[in-house]
Amino acid sequence: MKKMYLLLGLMTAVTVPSIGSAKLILDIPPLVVQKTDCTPYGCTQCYPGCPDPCVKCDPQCIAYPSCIAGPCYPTCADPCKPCTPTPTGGLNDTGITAKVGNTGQEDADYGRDKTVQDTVPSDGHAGFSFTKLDSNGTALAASATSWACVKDNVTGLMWEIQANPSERPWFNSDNSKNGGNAGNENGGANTESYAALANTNKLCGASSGWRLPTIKELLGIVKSSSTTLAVDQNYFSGMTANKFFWSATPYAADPASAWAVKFTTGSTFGLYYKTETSTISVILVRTAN
Amino acid sequence: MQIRIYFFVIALFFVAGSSQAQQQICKSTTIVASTNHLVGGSDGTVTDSKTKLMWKRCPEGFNYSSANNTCAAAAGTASLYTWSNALARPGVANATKFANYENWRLPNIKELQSIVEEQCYNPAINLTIFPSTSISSVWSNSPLPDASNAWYINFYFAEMLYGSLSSENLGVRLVRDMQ
Repeated sequence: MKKMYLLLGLMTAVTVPSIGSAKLILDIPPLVVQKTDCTPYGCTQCYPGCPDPCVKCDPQCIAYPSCIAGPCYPTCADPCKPCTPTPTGGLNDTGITAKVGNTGQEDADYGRDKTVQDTVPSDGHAGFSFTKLDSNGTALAASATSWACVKDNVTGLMWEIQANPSERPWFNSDNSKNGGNAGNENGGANTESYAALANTNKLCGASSGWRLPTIKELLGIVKSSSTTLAVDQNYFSGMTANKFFWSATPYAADPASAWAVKFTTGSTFGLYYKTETSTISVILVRTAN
Repeated sequence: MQIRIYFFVIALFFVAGSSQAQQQICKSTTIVASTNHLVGGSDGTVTDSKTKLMWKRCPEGFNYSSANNTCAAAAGTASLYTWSNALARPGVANATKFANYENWRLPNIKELQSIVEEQCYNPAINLTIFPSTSISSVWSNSPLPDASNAWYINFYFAEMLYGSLSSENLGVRLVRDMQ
């Protein structure tokens, strides 16, 4: 048996060089091209066929100036970056990575928290992927110390960030969406006017679309692996402990109430009276372009 | 004419709400529906094109009947489970290849909340898609950091709560990734 393996090994050793030499021959033409026509371009190394023949390009990436040398990802939203995976199809994962047992059936055994091994989080805890934005909506580095909005790369939502989130009563004048109770107009200082002001002020470069999140959207940023402060503080810096945040979703069982998320525990509750002028804070969201 | 229309609407409501004594309330004209894109299949599955998740139409311990769109208690099968017994239910569905799939699992808490229909309560779920049963509270597979509780949703009002892994007995809904 051992002898046979040895023989096979020898045969492979003999074949490999011949393949190698064939490759070598194929490699020659590009070298010839480089040697010939560079003088007209005024550079020692040239790349005919590229928009600037003195700058190396990847033929597949010619359409994307900022990553013309490659690699590029033509099917992605940003063709110069790998696509953001959406394994849960628009839902954020929970952020839970700890298991109680070894059944293979727990939260931590599935989803983006498992597939994105983010031991040194570059874009948010576990499977979360956030990008900080400045007041014009321009993307900032994760290390930025000042930012105005956060884009959620998994859900595609853009969130307002405030160091001290505003506390306002819930108000929605649209009778088809307010559960049969508009809430508390509060002399113009309410959630609806707050969202309108964000549009007027072009918060993070966006002059439309700012609104209260639905309860499902608000739950999306909850980091369920913590029950003391259930949100990624590296991005949602103003959402400190003891804060409740409004959703736009009315509470079906009681027209005077709306759903809110308690970020101390990360759970949703629908028992908050729309008339509350303090206690419950506002965070705005919009669907990013 | 108006009276007739009202009667028709009430009759429809009664059929949709099944024959249970308690009646679901839906605020369909003042609250935007959040789960009306769900599509129910005659094989006992529900397809969600937004989340790319597929659900079983009935909780564990119930069998789906496409003839009358109901969930009937399955003889000899429990419908309330401790958390660890809940985590064993996907194994049963996968061994029998429910709807020809072998990747059934429990939903995490956000996935479970994605089928809450906030337009309604008693229960806060689309009863045409997920027919009425005796099950109100449903486990997620998301444990709390204390490792002795897990998140669940009581679909009567749809509040998110947590309960003891060892002592709570709750319902189970299975889900699978469609990709």
